[in-house]
This record gives sequence, structure tokens and C-alpha cells, in this order.
Amino acid sequence: MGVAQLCPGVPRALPHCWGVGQAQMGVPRVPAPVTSFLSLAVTSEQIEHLHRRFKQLSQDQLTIRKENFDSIPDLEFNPIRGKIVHAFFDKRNLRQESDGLADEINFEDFLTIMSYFRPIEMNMDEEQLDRFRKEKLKFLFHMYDSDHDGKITLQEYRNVVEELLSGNPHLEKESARSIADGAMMEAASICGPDQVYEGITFEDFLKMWQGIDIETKMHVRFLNVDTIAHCY
Amino acid sequence: MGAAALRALPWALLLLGPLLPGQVLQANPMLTSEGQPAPLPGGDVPGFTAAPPAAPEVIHPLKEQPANGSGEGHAKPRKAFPVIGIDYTHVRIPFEISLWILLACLMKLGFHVIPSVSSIVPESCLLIVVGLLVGGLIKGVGEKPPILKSDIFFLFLLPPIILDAGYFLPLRPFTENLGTILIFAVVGTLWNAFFLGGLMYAVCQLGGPGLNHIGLLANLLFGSIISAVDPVAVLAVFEEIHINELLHILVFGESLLNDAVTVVLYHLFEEFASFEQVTILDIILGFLSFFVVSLGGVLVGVIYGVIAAFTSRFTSHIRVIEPLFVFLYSYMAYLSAELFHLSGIMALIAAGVVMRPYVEANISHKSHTTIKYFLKMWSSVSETLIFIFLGVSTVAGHHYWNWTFVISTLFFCLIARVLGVLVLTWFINKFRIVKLTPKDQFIIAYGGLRGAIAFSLGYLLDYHHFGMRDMFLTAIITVIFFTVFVQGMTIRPLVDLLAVKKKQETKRSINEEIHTQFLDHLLTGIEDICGHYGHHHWKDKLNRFNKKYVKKCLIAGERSKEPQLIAFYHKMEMKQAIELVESGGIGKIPSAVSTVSIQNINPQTLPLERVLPALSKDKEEEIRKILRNNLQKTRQRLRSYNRHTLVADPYEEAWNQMLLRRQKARQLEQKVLGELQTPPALADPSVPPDPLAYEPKEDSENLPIITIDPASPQSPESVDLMSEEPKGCGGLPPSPEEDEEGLVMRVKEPSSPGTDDVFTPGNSDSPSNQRMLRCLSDPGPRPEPEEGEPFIPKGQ
Repeated sequence: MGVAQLCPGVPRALPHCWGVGQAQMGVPRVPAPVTSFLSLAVTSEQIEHLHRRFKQLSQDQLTIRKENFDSIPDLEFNPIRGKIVHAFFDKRNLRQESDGLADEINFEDFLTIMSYFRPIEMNMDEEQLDRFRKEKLKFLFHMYDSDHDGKITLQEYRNVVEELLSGNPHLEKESARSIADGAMMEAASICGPDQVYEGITFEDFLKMWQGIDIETKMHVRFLNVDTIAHCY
Repeated sequence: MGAAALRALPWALLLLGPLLPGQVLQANPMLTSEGQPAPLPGGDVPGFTAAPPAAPEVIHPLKEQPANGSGEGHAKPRKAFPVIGIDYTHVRIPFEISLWILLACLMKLGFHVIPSVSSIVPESCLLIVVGLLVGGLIKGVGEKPPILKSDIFFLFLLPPIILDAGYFLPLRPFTENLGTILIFAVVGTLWNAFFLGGLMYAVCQLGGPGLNHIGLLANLLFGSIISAVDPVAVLAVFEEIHINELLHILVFGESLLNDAVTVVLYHLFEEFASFEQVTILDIILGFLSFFVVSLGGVLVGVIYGVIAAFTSRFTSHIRVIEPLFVFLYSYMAYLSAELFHLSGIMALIAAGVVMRPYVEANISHKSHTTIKYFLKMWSSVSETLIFIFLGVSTVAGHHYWNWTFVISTLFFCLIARVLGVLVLTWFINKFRIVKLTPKDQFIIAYGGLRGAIAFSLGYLLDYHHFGMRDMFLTAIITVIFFTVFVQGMTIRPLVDLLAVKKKQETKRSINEEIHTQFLDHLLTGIEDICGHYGHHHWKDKLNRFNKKYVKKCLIAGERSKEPQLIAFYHKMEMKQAIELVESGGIGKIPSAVSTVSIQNINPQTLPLERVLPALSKDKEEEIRKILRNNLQKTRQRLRSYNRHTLVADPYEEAWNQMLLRRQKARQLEQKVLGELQTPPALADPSVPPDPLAYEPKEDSENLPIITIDPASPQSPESVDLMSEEPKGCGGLPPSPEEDEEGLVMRVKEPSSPGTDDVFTPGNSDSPSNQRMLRCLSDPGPRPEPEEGEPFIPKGQ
């Protein structure tokens, strides 16, 4: 019951198709409106591929739960594995009104998450580019901000650095800690001291990322149109 | 070379003058009768032959003067001991080389003293002009100006520049754009060579009697020489215009990697030109040789790079020769590659890229600085010399100016470049995620500068096979001059005019490093989740392989296990310390830093553990309040990051000082503190010197004691468990005086990477081991006392 088979080449019709599928399975669900962002991002071919992958991960269920991610062998070595998986279930990333964590995500949510990793497009104007950049950074910000209070506190930053370094078992925790503290001090010099004691807000976060061209870096090549054929 | 010889001759005459007051006329015939030419003004004798005979003449009169007076016609006049003599031949070559280098350096110096000139005209242009003037001068005096010999160029002048480029290659953008770079370098250069060669052949056929005899192969050879973008010229121009990273690496990477194509084409056509006829087999072999030359070059480089990395593993006892290993192995890689006609440039770059991460982890900080400075110095001197000699050679060489040939070369060169870039980017953009905009394409096309490599290759051509060499050289020089002068000079205004994105002048910060790594892991994770094995996936695999096996073999000691982030952090720390000392704290902080570095290096004397006290929630809140009330200004003033906990500073410093005091030799400690009591030069006098208004005595009751819990390594929750249990340590309350010092110290904390190490009482054994990891990772395992200091540049 691949989505793409049901409605080939019509990504906009996706929620509808999906809804049909769910209705058949007896799991009613109101699909969230697919944003123009999403429809821009992914082509039907890609949806097909992603859907295959989704089914593979979910073992032919309609939704993915956290445990399903354990079956990806390569992910095991990823130091920030927890954060990545977490991001998939973070309702803030799923464009839902509510806050908190979802227990399971359906294919549409999966696509929504994936669409954060789409590449930049040639014909984007300044405003679009800015929105594009902010979207991506927001996603990252949510990954850092694990307690959903809109601020990255020192403790949260430390956790991030610790996780980054967690691939090295013989490393003292204090190194991670002092690096995070150093980074926080540096952030203070960027955003002004007041914020830092409260935590880094999204605006400060934007400033901190100024040096990195996130819009040209945060993408997965797979989400580019032409390569799809090779990556089954 | 002639200039110095010229200078020597009048001097010889001057010496002769007073010695032979009345007998100058006599002496000369006498000397000539001995079969030696008279020392005449240099204009008549070419510098080459004049110098050797000049020397003996000067010596002889000195001793023969008395003999002439007393015993006329003596068969063997007694020789007096020569008090002073001239033996110019003895020193001629090194002397002249030094003169040239000195000239190059002085010129470079001159351009930078006059800023208005260098802001308009690129240095390379000015140097060529200087070369032209010097060459003209030498020619004007009747000497033969030297020509940039191909051997000297390829064996001595080029390698430093390429090694510098390879060793400091920005690897990340390079690998990310490797596909694009390779297409430009290989396909682009091939296209240029064949397009130009073919069209020039047509021109030669149509061009009249002077050109008709030039065959297709000769033209193709010419095309392959002239088509390659030159790394030296590109570097010289692009470093000045500060273009964005992507464009820089595209053009520069192309100029580096097209060497293999150039080498192959050059040898191919040169060989073919001597063949009776060229068969299909020859062409296939030529095609094969491209892979051999490029991949072989890379292989040679990688082998030498690995050997160099491996060697540097054992150099910890003789730090002084560390830099030499890097240079020697790289140079050997270059020479070995050249030995087999492989691409020396590729070998050099591969060697530099491969050895760098491992060598840097092994060698001391000072050696690293040495390598950096030597490479920069050599490459800039080489570059200067190359441009000057280009100018001189232009004056010196024989020229055969053929309007048709030269103009059409120039024209087709530009056309080929533009067409090539347009077609190739159209193709590349289908695969690139970040597309190349028309502006980018323009800069890439416009940045295709030609340079000394083309000239030297042209100069290498054999006269017997290529009678038209002079015409080729003239055309090559014209193209070089056009690209360097016209394009090189206009590219900066054009970049401004087109508003091409420039390089962001940001220092690499620790935040950025964290974010970049985070992003890397995130993208790898997403790729894994999609089940797509892309760029990030393989990079991650490679990194893991590197960490697991390669680093263990090539990096000594604990540093091999050090993750990149930590290594980066240490580097930053070191840099900050040095910068701070250089920028203002000089004279006040050095002793502190040096003691710190001693502790860093010397695990036996100070097994300190870096433990930052964590604070309980409400404690943190309280201090936060204090900090907000009192500290804001200070924080703003603190430009550099501080690796301290934001909130724990006051305690820590007090602790720190106290513990240091116990640990260190009394004398040394006193010195440090004495100097620290004076506020640092950086501090703003308008800000109150003691921003931390807190009462250390009260708080010292709650000083944290940290125990490291190795059983709970990574779970995020375990961090909270780390927060200390307040424990009385009444035995060691910091005195007010001490804490004052601690506060002052805090401002310049970055300069003293070791002083924040809080020594936890009762927990000294296991932390010291961990501390050791870090100690070992720093410079030498057993440093001399002076080892610790010198990386602070003194009195600069």
C-alpha cells in the first residue's frame, strides 16, 4: 500500500491517501495540513523511497515507535543517537500545536522531519532563504533544548557536549564540562552576559550560528532529486 | 648573478690603484704577459668569465709590489703572506643567490611599507615589474640577465609553495567539493588543451609562411602547456581578495590538481613529437599513464605521509628536529614522484594532507609553530623569487613576436576558459546541491590565471624538436602577463562590483566547533535512518576507522585517544593564552603562564586534576544572582571565553590559588602571585577591580568536592549526580588575600590553562591518573625546565 503507488507523483495528495490507508486500518487520524514547505521539499520518487524505508523500520506498521530506531545498526555508534531519535518524536518539530513528546509518529511526521534536511534551492529569494535558515536552526535548537523551555541552559549545553564526546569511554566528564563552559563563556561574549545565565534563547542561537552557512550545510544528499535512483 | 660580479670588478681596480701608484701602466703589461687578461671595466668582459681571473690579479700585485722594486727579472719572486685577498669565485654562487633573495625580500618589504600601492596592484604584478626593471638594468650594463631555469624552478622554488598549500589545505571544503574540483581540473584542463591546441593548429595553417611549419602535435603541446591554471599565481591573487571559501577552494583546488593532467599531456606530446607516427596504442597508453601519474603521485605522497607521521611518533625526545622531518619527507615525496615522472605536486599535497593530523598530534606546540613559520616563509620567498625571475627572464630571453600567433593564443585562451567553465558548471550543477551561480562561474573563469609553471614547461622544450620554442615562450609570457596583470588587477574591483560573497573573517570558535560536530553526527544519523549511504555515512566510517586503527599506530601515547573536540579545545586554549600574553598582559603574566605550562607538561611535579565544581540548583541560582548584579561589565569586557564554570569561578579561584600554593615550590609561587597582584593590562581601569563581591569565607563551607564516577559515563542524568555534596573543609579556608588574588587572576584566566585545576583533597590518586592523560598529551614527556617557557614569544 505504498503511498506513491496510490497516488504517484502527487505529493500534495499524500495526506489524503494516507488518511484512506489509516481508515482502512481502523486508526483514525486527522492529518495535519501539509505545508508548502513540505510539498516543495520532497518529490514523489523520494516519498516512495522514504516510504519503503519507513515500512522497513516500522516492520509494516503504520507508526514508528522509539524502539524501531534500535534496529538501525549504523545508528548505534552515533554519539548523539539519543538526541536524533528524540527529535523525531518532538512535537515542536512536527508542527503541531501541542508541546511535548509523541509516542509514535506516522509516515507523514517522518516526512516532516526529513523535510528539514532538504537542500537549498537556486531560485530562493532573501526572505525565503532567511526562513529556510531559521527552520533548520529551529530544528537544531530543539535538539539542544531538551526541556522545552525555549532556552539552552548551561546544563543542557553540557549534556550536548558530553554526548558528543561520549564515543570515548576513557574521557573524563570534566573535559566535556569545561568545554561546554568555555563555549558558554564564548556565547556570553556574543549575546551579552545576561542571557547566558538564563540560557541561550533562539535569537542568541541564531547569532551563534552566524559563522556557519547552515543553509548550505544541513542537508542530506538523498533529499536531492537526482540521486534517488541510486540509493535504494 | 651578473650584478654581483659587476660589483666585484671595480673593487678590484680600486685595490690596485693605491698599491701601484706609478706603475699601473707597467703592472698591466706585466700581468698580461703572464697570460692573464687585464682587469678592465666589467662592461667589456662578460660577467661569467671576468670574475675568475679578476681575483688572482688582485692578490698578485699585493705581494709582487716589493719584488718589483728590488729584484727585477727574478725567476721566482718571494711571496709575502697575503694579508687581504679577494676570492670571489669561491663565494660567487651562494653570494649571488643570497643577493637575489635579499632583493626579493626587500621588495616585498617595500610593498608592504607603502600600503596604498599594494591595495590597488597585486603584489605579483609589482614583483614582475621589479623583475623587468632589474633585468633591464642588468642588460643595460651589458650583462646577461639570468633566466628562470626549469630545474631550479621545479626542484627548489615550487615545492615550498605547494607544500605550504598542501599542508594547510582546508580539508573540509576541499573534500566536500572534490568532485567539482576534479571535473574542473581534469576535464577542464583537457578541454582547454585540446580546444586551444586544435584552434592554434588551424591558425598556424592559415597564418602564413611564418607559422605553416608548426604541426598539430606541437600545437597540442603548446595548448597543454598554456592551459593549466597556475597555483602560484592563483594563490598570490586570491589570498589578497579574500573571496569566499567555496570559490577559493574551487579555483585553487583546480590549479593544484590539474598538475597531473599537465604533466601527462606534456610528456605525451613531447614523446609523440619525436615519433614517426602515433598509433592508437600510444594514445591508449597515454590515457593509462594519466591514471598512473595522478594516482601514483598520490600513492607516493600517502606513503611518505604515513612514514612521516610514524616517525613523528618517536621524536618526543629530540624536539628540535621535528619540523625537519616534515620538510624532508615531503620533499622526498616530491622528488620520488618526479623521479618516476609522476605528479610531484599531487604527491606533495597528498603527503601534506596525510601527515598533518598525526604529526600535529605528536609534535610539540613549538615545533608546530616552527613548521608553520618555515613553510610560510619559504613559500612567500619562493613566490617572490618566481615572480621577479619571471620579469627578469622576460627581458633575458630571446623573443620571437608573431602577432597572429600571440593574439590568437590570448584570445582562444580566454574563450576556452569561459566556454569550459560554462559547460562544465552546467553539467556539475546537475549534481551539486549548492549550485554554482553565474557570479561564481564568472569568478572561476576569471580566476584562471597562468603562471610560472607554464613558462618553465615551455622553457624545458628542446630546441631541436621545437624550433619555434621562442615564439611559444613569447606567447606564453604574453598570456601570463595578461592574466596576472589585467585579470589579477581587475578581479578585486570586480568582486566588489558583483558583490561576490567574501570570506567571513571569523575566528574559529569553540561554539562553532561544537555545532559543526553536532551537525556532522546529526546528518550521519539522518542518512542512516533514511538508509542512504551518502557522503556523511562514509565520512563517518572513515573517521571511525581512523580512530580505531590508524591513530593508534601513528600517534604516540594518550593523544591518540583524544577526540577531535578536545584536541581542538586544547589548541584554542593555547592560542588564547599566547594571544593574551602578546596582546597586553606581557610582562605581567608570562611567569604565570610559564609555570602553568610547566605543570601542563610535567606530570610528576603537579598531578592536578581538572575538576570543576558543579553546584546544586539553589546554590547556582544564588550565585547567578550575585553574578548578574556585579559581573555584567566584567563579562562584557572578557572577549575570550573562559573555560571556567560560569558560576563556580569565585570558589574555584580561591581554591585554586590555595592549592597551587601548597603544591608548588614556595619561591615560584611567590613570584607568580606577586606579579598577579598587579591588575592585568587588559583590564579596563574604569571598572571596579574587584567585581566579585562575595564572601569567600562563608561560602568556603560549601566548597564542592567532586568524585568522579567512572561507572556512569554518559547518561545525561549522571551529570546531575555529579553535583557535589557540600562538605566542610574548614581546614583550608582561603584567606581574603588569597581570594583577592584569585579574583584578579580570573580576568586573565585564559592565559593560565592549568591553574583552574582544583585539587580535590582525598581524591588525589585516581584523578591524577586522568590528569596524566592530558599532561601526556601536551608537549614533551620529560621537558627541560626551559621547555615550558619559550612558546611565549618574548619581547615581541
